[in-house]
Amino acid sequence: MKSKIAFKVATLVIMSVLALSLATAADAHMPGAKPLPDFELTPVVINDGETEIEITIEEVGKYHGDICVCGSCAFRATQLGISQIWGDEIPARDDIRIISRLPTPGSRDCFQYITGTGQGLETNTKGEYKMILPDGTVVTNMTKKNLKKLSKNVGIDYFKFDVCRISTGECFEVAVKEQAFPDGYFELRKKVKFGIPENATSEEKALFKSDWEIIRDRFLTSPDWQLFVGVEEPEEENDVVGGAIFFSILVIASFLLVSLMYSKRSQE
Amino acid sequence: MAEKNNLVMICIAILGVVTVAFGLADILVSAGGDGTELSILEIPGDMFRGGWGGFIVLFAGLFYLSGCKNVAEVHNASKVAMGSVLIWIMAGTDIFAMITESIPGGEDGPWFNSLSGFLGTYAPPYAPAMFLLPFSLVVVYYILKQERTR
Repeated sequence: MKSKIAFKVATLVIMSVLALSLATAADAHMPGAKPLPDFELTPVVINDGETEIEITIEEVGKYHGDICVCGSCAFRATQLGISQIWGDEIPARDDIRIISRLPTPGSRDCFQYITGTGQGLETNTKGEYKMILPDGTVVTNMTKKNLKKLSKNVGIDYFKFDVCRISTGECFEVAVKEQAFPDGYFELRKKVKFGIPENATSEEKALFKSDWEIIRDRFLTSPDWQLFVGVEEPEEENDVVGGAIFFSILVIASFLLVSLMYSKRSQE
Repeated sequence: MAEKNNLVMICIAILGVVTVAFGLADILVSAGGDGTELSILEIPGDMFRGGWGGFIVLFAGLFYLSGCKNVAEVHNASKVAMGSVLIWIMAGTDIFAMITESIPGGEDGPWFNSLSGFLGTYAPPYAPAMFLLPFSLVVVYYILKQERTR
């Protein structure tokens, strides 16, 4: 009798653990999403005390469980913020402060991994990571459950991140361009993930999945100026040699044509 | 003499075929909406320069092909000359656009362009008509020379 009860309890526990893990996976990532595109992202290079370390998007993805929209966006935002504030210098990890307005597990894990403030990370130094919503609410409870609740109203205003240099107080706000997201993405997200204002149809779920893949791929492959506000498109370098050759040909040909016409006229 | 005529015919026919191909490429690319770049060749995608311009280049090629058989004959010579004139219209407007574009300094820039900016405007890629321009000049030069000797 006792062993029967123990067996039932053990089965129940295993089933609950399995169900919980499946639910977590479905919540954090996009089930059945396309594989990642071919991309090349340079790592975030920082000094962790005396050690120079390179943090790749793959490492961040491994820490989070997958390379998702928010994780890839947070990684690109950090790269841009660091390049704008430190330029060619390598920042010290404990000199970095990141203030994010995005209450999602993907961005949280990325920022915590970079600043060394996440659970289970062994680092020599730690930076700072804060989450402050656009309405000014400071989020201290960063559990997945609470973030899910807070992310209900996520829109373009939430995709803003301050990357700061603690020692100088210098900050750069990285804001994602509206064009990075397909039209109506946030309304669709609300419908699919939270059933607001009503549950999504299967077509809407499929559209959301494809939109999600598009955005993730954009954050992995597009240049900064296409993704973030205030980043200018780099000017194409002029092909001066090619232009000079053609211009010379043009001038010589015109000169020959004119001299040919004059010589013909003088012959006549 | 007959051998020379055959050689001229072949050359003009090849020029005609290439011109027709460029014209068709112009029309097809502009029908697709986006311009295409192939190394130093650029096929414009807009309806005016690509679509309408493509028709002009296409007809230039057809004039070449219909006039290549016996260029010594005045009607055929005029068709070939007409083909060349059509090419000149296209290439001429392209060169004129380049010249006017190369002088000012750009929307938010200074009044006059920098030297590198000036020369950079003349850099490749070029539209198909620009590549056909030197050949069209040679063809017309040949026709004029023939007329003079006659």
